[in-house]
Amino acid sequence: MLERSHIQSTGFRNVGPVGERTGFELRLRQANYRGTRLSLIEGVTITVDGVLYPAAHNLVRIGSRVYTPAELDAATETRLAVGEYMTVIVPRPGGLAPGVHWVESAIGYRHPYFPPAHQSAVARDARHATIVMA
Amino acid sequence: MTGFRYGVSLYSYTDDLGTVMTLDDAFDHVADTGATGLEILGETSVPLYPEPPAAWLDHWFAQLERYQLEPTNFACWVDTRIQLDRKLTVAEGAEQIALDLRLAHRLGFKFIRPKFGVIDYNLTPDPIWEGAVERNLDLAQALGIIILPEIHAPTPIHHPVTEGYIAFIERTGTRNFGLMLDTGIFQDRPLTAWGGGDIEAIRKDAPDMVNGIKVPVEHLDDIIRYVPFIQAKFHHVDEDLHDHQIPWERIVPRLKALGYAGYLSSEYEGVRDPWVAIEQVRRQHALIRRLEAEWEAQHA
Repeated sequence: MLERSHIQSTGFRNVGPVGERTGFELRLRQANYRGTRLSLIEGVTITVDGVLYPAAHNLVRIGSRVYTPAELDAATETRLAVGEYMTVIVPRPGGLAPGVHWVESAIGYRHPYFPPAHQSAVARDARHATIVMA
Repeated sequence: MTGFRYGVSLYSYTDDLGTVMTLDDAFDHVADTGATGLEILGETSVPLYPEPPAAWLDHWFAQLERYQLEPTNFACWVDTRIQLDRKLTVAEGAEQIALDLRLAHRLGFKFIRPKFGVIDYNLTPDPIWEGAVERNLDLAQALGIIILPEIHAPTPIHHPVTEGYIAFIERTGTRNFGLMLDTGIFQDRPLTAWGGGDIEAIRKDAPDMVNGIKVPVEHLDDIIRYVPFIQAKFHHVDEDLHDHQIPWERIVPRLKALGYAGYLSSEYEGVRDPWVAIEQVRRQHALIRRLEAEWEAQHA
């Protein structure tokens, strides 16, 4: 099972070749109470140590498939189940320094059954998380 | 005298499911309250929705048998604004409802609650609802399922949304469409915690949802004949079995006087700390059972 926080300890790591890291990735627990069509996920913004990484540039991996924000919008028949996680892939040349970071996440969900002004709702989380290896 | 039927919606255990609770655990918690009815959210509890594996189906029926629970309502969604710039058509909405009717039937449910996308603050459903439902009335009848739209705050009982659903029932003469009443409409004191999302966000954007829309329980009289299922929404019951938001001491006698004998399916929506919901559901059942017993003693 997953940690209660949206942000998971496991899975926070640098990506790309060692010495030439292209970014980092982070697992987020499905924060909605129902399995959610990917087309209802409007993007994921990540902040690390105060540096904002906007949703438009982040990719999301679910299972073995990687989605751009536009590809999420098109994925109307694929769902992210409750009890599963998405991996957010964040571009950042050089990756993050090993050690403990303050990480914030904001998952944009569209809830068609909410009043139109509130259909886009953001599920937020913030906690410390640790990069083990450069 | 016919009494209430007691059930639990697994929505109550939101955030516990998938982190500290399995579906098997949930069966145990629900059954131990003395409830006989199990309500699930299809997209939450059915693995690989809408096509669960055969082995899971076998286990589902074995667990129902083991715990002597009956499936009540199958919650589902018609995601009308399915993409940022695309809405479902009537045909697509009808297809979604048909899919959920068939899956709910396979799992043994008697009700489905399709949650439609809405077009305004008062939760007026997307206009496709009527055609999408009407195309499924024959299927619902063949499967023995009643389709339930939800009457949920901030929509009260006396409101065009509710009246629109009733007009549909009257026009079609169907027995396979009825109102699901969410007892959150009776909330008459403010929320201090909200298990449906960010309370600060709704405090700012939808204060009605925090303060309660305080529908008089007497309004039940006007619609109860259309209500085959009640979702017993609540947020906090304390150690003295006092509910801090929902006036059960007025709701229960009214339902009893009206002869309601359907399900009260608990829907806890309070603090989302681990395992809190398990105890909260038990307290709510103890409270409502006590009020029901008191009413019956007075009217024996």
